[in-house]
Amino acid sequence: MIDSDTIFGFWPRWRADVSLEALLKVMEEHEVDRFLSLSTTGIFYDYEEGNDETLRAAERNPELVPVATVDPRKYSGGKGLVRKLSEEGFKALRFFPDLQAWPFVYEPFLELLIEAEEVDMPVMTSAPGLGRITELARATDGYGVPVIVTGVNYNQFSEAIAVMRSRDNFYITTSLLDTPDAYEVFVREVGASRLMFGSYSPLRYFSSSFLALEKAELEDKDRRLILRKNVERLLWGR
Amino acid sequence: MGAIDLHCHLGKWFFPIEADGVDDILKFMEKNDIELSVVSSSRALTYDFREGNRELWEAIRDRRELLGYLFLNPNYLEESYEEMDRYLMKEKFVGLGELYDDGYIGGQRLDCDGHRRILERMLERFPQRLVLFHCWGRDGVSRLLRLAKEFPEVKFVAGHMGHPDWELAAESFRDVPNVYLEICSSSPIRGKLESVVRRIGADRVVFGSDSTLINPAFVVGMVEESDLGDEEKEMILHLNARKLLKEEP
Repeated sequence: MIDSDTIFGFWPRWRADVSLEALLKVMEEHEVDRFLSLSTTGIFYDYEEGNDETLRAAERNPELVPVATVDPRKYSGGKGLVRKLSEEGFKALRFFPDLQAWPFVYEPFLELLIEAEEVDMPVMTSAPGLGRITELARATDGYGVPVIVTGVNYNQFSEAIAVMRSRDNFYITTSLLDTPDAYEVFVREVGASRLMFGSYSPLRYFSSSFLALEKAELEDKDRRLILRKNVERLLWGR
Repeated sequence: MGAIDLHCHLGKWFFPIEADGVDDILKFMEKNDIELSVVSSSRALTYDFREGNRELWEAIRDRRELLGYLFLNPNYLEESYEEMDRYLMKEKFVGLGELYDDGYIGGQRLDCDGHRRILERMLERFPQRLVLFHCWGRDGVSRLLRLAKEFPEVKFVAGHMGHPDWELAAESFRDVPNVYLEICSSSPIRGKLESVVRRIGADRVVFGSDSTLINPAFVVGMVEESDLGDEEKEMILHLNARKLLKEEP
């Protein structure tokens, strides 16, 4: 199993243990083989420092797949940063506009998309609120880069399905696939190859997203795609 | 023993959810080891409360796994009284719910005069004492606090336990023994159950799923994953609800 949606570090918004130790414990308890992760330092404080922490954690824990983050409020693009991150071993580039309050039609973000496309690095981003996935889709039209939307919940399902139907490069993580038949509806509408299991551990209870997938009425081949193979294909091309 | 779900709905939603019938509810209950669900009508709480209550009655009347909450609309007080007369003599209706706060039905707050009059009438004429209120954020908490103190005979279930202010809810209701926190949410923040139990005690926390809006597995996962003891989990999943429902005359 691969968890495509985890973080580690410190969580300033409320009291929560999102330490690397807490993440490793949850992943071990649930027999997660590999997990995409990044340091929250890069979200809230400084992305360069955060990316360094992520790389160091990945060096010590080979099951941690390093994901880079860049805050487009600070980086305006054009300096080859994403190529450098790719060369350092980062497998995806993740954004947090929900926590950093910037819009998708925002030139620094679009500059970063160009850089990500040049090195074929998948882009992950939150897009909470009605209309935001549509804005993201329109902002990224024309870029060949895979776009993985994190934390999509019931309020956005219709919008996510509409965007995914018309854009082959859009994927979602499953951390908030929270309605009783969400998996069945998404698999029928857009295919299992567009979903990636994620828990947003250790900030959220792992078992909430995992039990929902486990109890979904899916064929085993679709469950395998969601739990592992889609991430492998996107990140490692296999 | 299976869980008891104190927050369940029958009917459609304005989201792409297709499994919204009574057979779907029963299927989800079986999948998640839920033996009894207390259901209110989504048609009632988003649109036509009388038609919704009627549909709900038809769905629960012959199903031993389902009990009902009667939904009333304080914008239609006389008609709400008629609904009380029509349904609250039936044992299958164990209370009122999910009464809303500034919600789908527009403009009426949880502690509005209409809700007060409905509660007064329930106490005067009917045996039910259980009320599920949608309790969201600090406004929801403060309004429910006011009502709970005014109506100490009523057992209030605070749906969503004041999300995202569950710690405030637990502290605010700690000394108000007629309020129980119901845990469902589509935001399963790790540690929230432990934090709430630490503040108010496991005997004041109850399981609800918000099915068919939210997957019961999502909420069961919160309980399973939490660091609470087995005894505390049992209290939350069914023992507390059993007491609440048995207290009904």
